[in-house]
Formats: sequence, C-alpha cells, structure tokens
Amino acid sequence: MSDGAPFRDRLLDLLGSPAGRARLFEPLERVTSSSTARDPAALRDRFSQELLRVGGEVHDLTGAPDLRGALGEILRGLVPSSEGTAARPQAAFDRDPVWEKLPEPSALLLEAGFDSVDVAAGDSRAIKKLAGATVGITIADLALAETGSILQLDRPWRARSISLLPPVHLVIVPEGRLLGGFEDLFEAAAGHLGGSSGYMTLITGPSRTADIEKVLTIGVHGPGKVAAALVS
Amino acid sequence: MKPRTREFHDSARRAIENPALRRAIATANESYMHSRANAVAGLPEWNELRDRAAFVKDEALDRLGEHLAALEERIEARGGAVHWAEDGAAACGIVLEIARKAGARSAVKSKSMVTEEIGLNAALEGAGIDVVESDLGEYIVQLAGETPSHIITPAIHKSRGEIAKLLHEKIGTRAGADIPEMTRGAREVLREKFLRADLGVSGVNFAVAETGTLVIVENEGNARLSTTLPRVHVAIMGIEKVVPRAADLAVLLRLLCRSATGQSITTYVSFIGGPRPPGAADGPKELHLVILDGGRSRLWSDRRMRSALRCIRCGACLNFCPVYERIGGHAYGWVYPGPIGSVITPGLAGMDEARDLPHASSLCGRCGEVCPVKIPLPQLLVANRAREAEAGRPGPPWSDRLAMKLFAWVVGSPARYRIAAGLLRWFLRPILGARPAARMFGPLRAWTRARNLPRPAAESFHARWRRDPAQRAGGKLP
Amino acid sequence: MEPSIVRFPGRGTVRPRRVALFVTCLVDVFFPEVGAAAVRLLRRFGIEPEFPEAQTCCGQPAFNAGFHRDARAVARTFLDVFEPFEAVVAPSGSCASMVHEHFPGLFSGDGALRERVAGLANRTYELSQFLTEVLCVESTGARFPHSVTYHDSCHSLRSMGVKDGPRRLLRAVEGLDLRELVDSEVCCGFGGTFSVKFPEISAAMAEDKIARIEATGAEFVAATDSSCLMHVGGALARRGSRVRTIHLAEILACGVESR
Repeated sequence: MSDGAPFRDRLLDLLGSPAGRARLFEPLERVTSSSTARDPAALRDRFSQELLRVGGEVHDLTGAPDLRGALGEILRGLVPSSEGTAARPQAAFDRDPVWEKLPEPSALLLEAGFDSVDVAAGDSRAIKKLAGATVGITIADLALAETGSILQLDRPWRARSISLLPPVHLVIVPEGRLLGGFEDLFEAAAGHLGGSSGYMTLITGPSRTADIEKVLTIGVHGPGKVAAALVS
Repeated sequence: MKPRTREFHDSARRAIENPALRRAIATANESYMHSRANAVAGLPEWNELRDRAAFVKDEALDRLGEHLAALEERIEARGGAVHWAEDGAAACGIVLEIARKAGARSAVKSKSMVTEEIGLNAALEGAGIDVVESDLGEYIVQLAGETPSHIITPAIHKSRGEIAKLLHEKIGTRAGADIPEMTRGAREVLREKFLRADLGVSGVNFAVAETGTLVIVENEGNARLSTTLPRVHVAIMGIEKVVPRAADLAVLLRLLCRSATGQSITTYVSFIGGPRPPGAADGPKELHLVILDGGRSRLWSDRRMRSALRCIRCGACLNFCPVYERIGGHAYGWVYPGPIGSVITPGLAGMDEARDLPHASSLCGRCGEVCPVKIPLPQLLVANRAREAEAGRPGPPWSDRLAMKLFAWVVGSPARYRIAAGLLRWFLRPILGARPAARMFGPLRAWTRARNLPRPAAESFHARWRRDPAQRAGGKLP
Repeated sequence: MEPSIVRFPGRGTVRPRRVALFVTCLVDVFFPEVGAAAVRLLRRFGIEPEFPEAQTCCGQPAFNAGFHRDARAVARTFLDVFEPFEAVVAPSGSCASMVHEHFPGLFSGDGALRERVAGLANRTYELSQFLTEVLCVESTGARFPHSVTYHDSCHSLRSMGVKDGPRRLLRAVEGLDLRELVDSEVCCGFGGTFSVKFPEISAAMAEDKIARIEATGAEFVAATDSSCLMHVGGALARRGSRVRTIHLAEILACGVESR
C-alpha cells in the first residue's frame, strides 16, 4: 500500500480487509441461561424482585379495576406534595400508542395534582421543558425479568430525555412486553438495532454511584426514583 | 497521557509506605469481592459464559479488519461519521477538528480510559474548549488535578474527608458534607454543564459490527446525558472494542457488570447507532466515531499477545491482584494499571517505558482465573518478560542475564549442580548457624531485610540417597 | 489459568510401576526431610520410588524470568532424565506445574519433541495429587497431635487443581486440629525473583499472610510448596513468632512407616 493511502486503508489492510471467506456473524447457540422463566406470573415475580433489589418501586396493576386511581396514587406517592408550594409539579409523558388502552394521561395527571408538559416530536424546546419537569412517564417497549430492566427504543413519539432529565421516572410495563432473559431481549430488539435509528436504552432502577469510598448513593445524574407499573 | 512507568520502583515503594492508600484500596476491595462473589454465584453457567465471551472476542479479533469495516458501513449508513486515528495525537487532532467545525466552546465527558490515554482533555483545553468530566469519580479526580487510579472507581484512592475538603474548595459544598450531600452538590454543578455543552465525548464498551451499535454502560446517567443533550457526540474507541453480533451482548453484559462492580447489570446501557433521526426531539445531530490504533495493531500482530486485546476493561484483575492492592493504580505510571496494564503497556507505550511492569508480579495466577474473557494474563506477563530477554538492546539488566546464564549452566549438569549446592552449603551453613537473622549483601540483601534465609541442610537429599542404599533415604532424618 | 486435573488412565485401578521422585532443588538443598517424607509416603502405599540421580532443576527461575532458551535447555535435560518413568512425582506444586503446564509450550516449534514432552508433562504430579487422585488415598495413617492451618500454594491451587485433597488428608490425620485459614488462596508473596526484585511488596504480602496465620492460633502452617514455606517461615522467624512451618508431606508421613 502506498504511503499516501489514508491510515484507514493501511490499517484495514494489515488487519485483513473483506476477503470473501466464510460469512460473518454466523448465529451461535445460546449459552444455557438459568435466568429465563416462561410463564407470565413467574416473569412478573422475577422482574419485581430484581427491580426492588436495586432500589426501584414496583406496582403490580395487572387486572386492577381502577387503573386511573391506582396510577394517580402512585404518582402522588412518588412526588409528595410539599405544603405551601403554590406551583404544581410538572410531569411529561410520551405518546406511545399503548396510551389509547390506558387512562388518558393529561387528565390523569391533572387529577393527581400535576401540570402536564407536552413534548411532541420535533419539539426544539423539549430539553428545556423536560429539565423543568419533576416526573417523566413512559411506556416500556420491552422489559426484562432477569434484571428488572425496561427497554426504551427510539420512537418518534418519545424524547430520549423523558426517562432521563426529570428526577422521577414512572414507567408503565404492558404485560406482553415482559421478556425473560438477555437472549430474548436481543432477539426481539435485533431488528431495531439494525434499523434506521439503531438507538435504544436499557434502564434498571434509579441512578447510582459508589465512587466515594465505595459507599452506595442513589440518585446521581439520572432519575433518583424509578417506579414500574405492570399493567395487563 | 505521558507514561511515568520508568518511575515504577520508586512509586511502588512510596505507595507501600502509604497506609491511608492501602486502607482505602483494601476497604473498597472487600465490598467489591462480596458483591462479585454473590453475583457470580447466581450464575452457575459462569464458566460457559467466559468460554463464549473469549470465543466471540477472538472471532472479532481474528477477522478484525472485516468487523471494523462492517461497523463503519452501518454507522455511516445512518449518517454517522467514522474517523480512523493512528495514534493519540491523530485522534486528538480529529476531535479538535470536529469541535472546530461545530463551533464547540464547551464539552462534557463521560468516563473513558482511551481518552486518558490520548490526553484529550489537555488537547481540548489547549484549543480553548472547556471540558468537564461528568462521572463523579472522574470529576473528583479532575478537580484535584490528578489522574484516575482505577479503571472503574477512579477516585478510590481518596477518602471521603479528602473529597469533602476538595469539593468545598472547588464547588462550595459544605465543609463537613456527607456522601449524599457531596453527590447532590456535584450533580447540581454538572447538570448545568450537561445542559449547556456543545460537545459530548464518550468511550465505547462494545461496538457491535453486525448492527453498527455503540454500547455504553454506566450507573450514574452521565453518559446518557453526555450523549443525548449536546448537539455533537464524539465516541472514541480502540480497534479491539468491536464484537460480532448483538446477541453476543447477552453474554458480555452479564460478564462485564459482574466483573466490574458485582452488579447483574448497570443502571443504564445505551445503544447508539447514529445521530438523531429526522424529527426527533433530542439526541445529537452529529455522531462521530473515532477508531484508535495507538499501538494496538502492534499487539494484534504478535500472536502471543493478541489475546490481551480481548480485554473488556472490567477491572477484575486489578481487584484481585495482591500487588495492585498494595500499591494502587498511580504507581503503574500510566492509564492501565494492574495485571492488564502490565501486559499491554509495553506494547502500547513501548517496552522501554514499561520494562519493570511485567516483573511486578508473583505470578500467583488470580488474574487469569477471574478474567471474564479468559485472557491468560500470567502467561502474557511471562511472554512480556521473554520479549524483553530476547530483545538485543537494552534488554534485561546485565546482572539478570549473568545470573540466568550461571543458573542454566549449573543445572545443566548433575556434577556442576552438586558442586554449586555444596558451595552454597559451605558458605551459608556456618553463617546462618551462628546468626539465623544474618543480613546478606548482593541479591540476597533484599531478601534478608525482612526475612531470615533458610539454612542449607547438613546433608542434601541426593547425598543421603547415595549414602544409604539400603534405606534409600526413606527413614526419618537424624 | 484453568486448573488442569491430570488423570492417570484407569484411575485407581492401574498402578504405575516405575515412579520417579523429582525431589526439586529447593527440597534437595534446604529441606531434604520433605524428600524423605515423600519416599516414606509412596512406599506406604506400595510404590517403590526411583530417584534418578542425574536430576537437577525444573528450570522455573529461567522460565519465569523470560529466558526461554535457557529454560528449554533445562527442560531438555529433564526429559532425558525422567522420560523412562511412568509417573513423576514432586513434593512441590510449582515445580510440578512448571513441567505439567509450561514444558510443552517451550517446544511448540518441534513436533516430535513436543509430543514426548507433552506426554511427560501429562504424567507429572504434585505429591498430594498423586496420592489422592492416582493412588486414591483417603488417609495416610499419620499421627500429628497439633493445630495446623493450611495455605494454598498458588501453583498447586491454580495450575494443578489441588485444593480439597490436602485438606481431606489432613483431616484424616490422628490428633490433628485443622484450622481454616482466611484468605488461604491469597499469594504469600514469594513469586521467585519477585521476592528480591520487589522486596517491599513481597514483604508486605508475607506480613498479611502471617497476620492471617496468627489469627488462627495454629501452631503450624502447612503447604504443598517449600518455596512458600521458606518465604513465610523466614518472615515468621525474623519476627520471633511461635508459629512453625511444615511441609504437607512431613505431616502426612509422621509416624508412618514404609511397608
């Protein structure tokens, strides 16, 4: 290779550039994982156990008769109202189509004592608004029982920062979206990862650090309170 | 970062004599060991996972060019830009150019060892760009004007008292602040930085070739913020970070999190494939991936050393290393301390720089035992020693060479061996008989400063065997 | 390093006839009583060990220091001396592992020679391993009425997979009070030339090991390797400690007469 060739070419030449050998990325068998349960009740149990363990809150609302009331109660529990504060706390929510099957969010928030923050797609002031919000509410795209995690894919109806900037994150997990283990997760998400956005984020409980003397502190840069509500 | 590995002996000695440092590391280790043991116990398939992880890392390494090319293609297809840097200077140059074109005045960084390696902060600051480390440990270390002492917990060498004092001076938190208060104080200051920064810089834990995905793991949320709020995101990775498939992440994430912090998963795992899609409310408008060689291709080309590139930077080998435990990370003089540091620093920073590091090990083998990707670390340490011995100039000290030649000559013949053993007996027996705690000169001086020498027996096993054919040395010795 | 458990074919049912004792240079010069104990133990279980007098050293110091050409020469000599035997037994995990784990790699360039070396490597054992895994010994019939704590020598543990065997054998010794050592698996700090190249670190590791030993209150600390015992023992003696070091073989052979 000539000296003038950009470094990239020289490097790839050294490391072996495409040479039409065997296919890349041949699928491999799963390593047996002891962590995949199958039936919905077991999945819910495992999910709850894991999320509780890392300091998250879990509310099992599957089959709950009054979802609106229940969600409202959860919200009020997450943000106890401080006496004498005139301003109502602000809450932002995403526009996942699943909301159509759930209590209407802005009404729900109003009733619970919150002002809604509307963050639509392409909103250039989204970040500023979210920085002022107390609660971010999202619908989980997938959830993982193995670790008590929820997955948020990049969606036109959801700003990435809803689950990041406000200090409280409430995530609603529809039952059918709860998976067992990592292998299941990556299988389900493979298409999205290879797709046009390729962005997703896996969230497990509240933010934490042990950088000072290895002492655990909950709530650093990301939300300090995370609550999951499991719904049917 | 400029290597200071030539000062290793002195640094190590000073560290040993620093009880506060040793206590800090020991305390941190204890909690880590406990968490990790629990986490590993929860996975009976731990060894199978390690096997698979080693396999897929080797898969990527064996066809590294193809995997990197696939990664580049997919990221570019989404509108991301991929840049290739031969060394640290080139990488800094690329980042500065990106910053210049974007008109960036301020940057937030999430934790990245590779950015330490290339001295990125200094380069950015030199160009008038304000850089702040957003990971709490890194932030503390930055405020103190120091370098990180550990891959995972950069400020582990500092006590809470020291940190409280530092934060009080630098950001005005209360002088006697406790840990939650200090954390809140830092969070407030850094939140503003996140919201205002033009440029976000991150490392990469895994880069998936199949899907063109950059994976970043963290607990604090600062990496998410750094890679979501600023309009430009620059991710920097070494060439060895690429892995084949998304499915491989199932194995790698389990191993990395348990090995690094004893968690089954970190709070956040971000998967980034490109800049924000059109019409999105947030996310960076520009995504740049800088792929750094920095001497890794040299390690890669040496078949003996290639397995060192499997490293997923978990820090387990550091935590289990009895040497690291006693001297801490700074003594190693460069970015990567502990066993992995002693293995790769000679290759990345040059053998001349790092000649002492591979020898600072008793070869106890714990590192290789705990490495999640089964890097044969003790073997590689010896391989580094062998490379040094084989090198013409300067090679090992002449006294070492002489001693070895002598040793090999003596044990090469039974007669010479018996004569040498006899000489040793003749010399040491009377001295140690009279004064068991005798201090010696020469190479034995180092031994006898802290320990008594063993006294050669009056009659060697060989002599006894020859002397007593009937009993043949089986009976009790007189 | 994965522990490679060596299995003699037909475990327990096929007794090797020609067994060589590789006494190791350290034991030969400084601790011949350990060699004597090894001989007694093997005889007790029906093995008449041979002692090829041309043996010298396994070459570990040269190998660990990176002088592999020299190490290869030493290994070549070792092969000549020990190849005729069906099994080679050494009262040292580090010497046994030098042969078992590292010898073959020294000859990777030479096919035929490598095969021979690998064959020899596969039939080289640490003493307690030979007793428990090949001869299937559960108890040596020894008597040692003292309190003992056991330190896991790194190479025995990690290269030869020796961990439960010594403890089982010790528990079977009459009168012996076995006290478990906290951090028994942590290196004592010897590491060959490491002990003189980095004496402060080495001494600090010995100090910590001694603190753990003394915390058990045991009278003796035992191990499979004289190198560890020499290093720890030297430090114990320097500070005037009452604790004494003793090789595992010596305990297991105490009061045992050869058949």
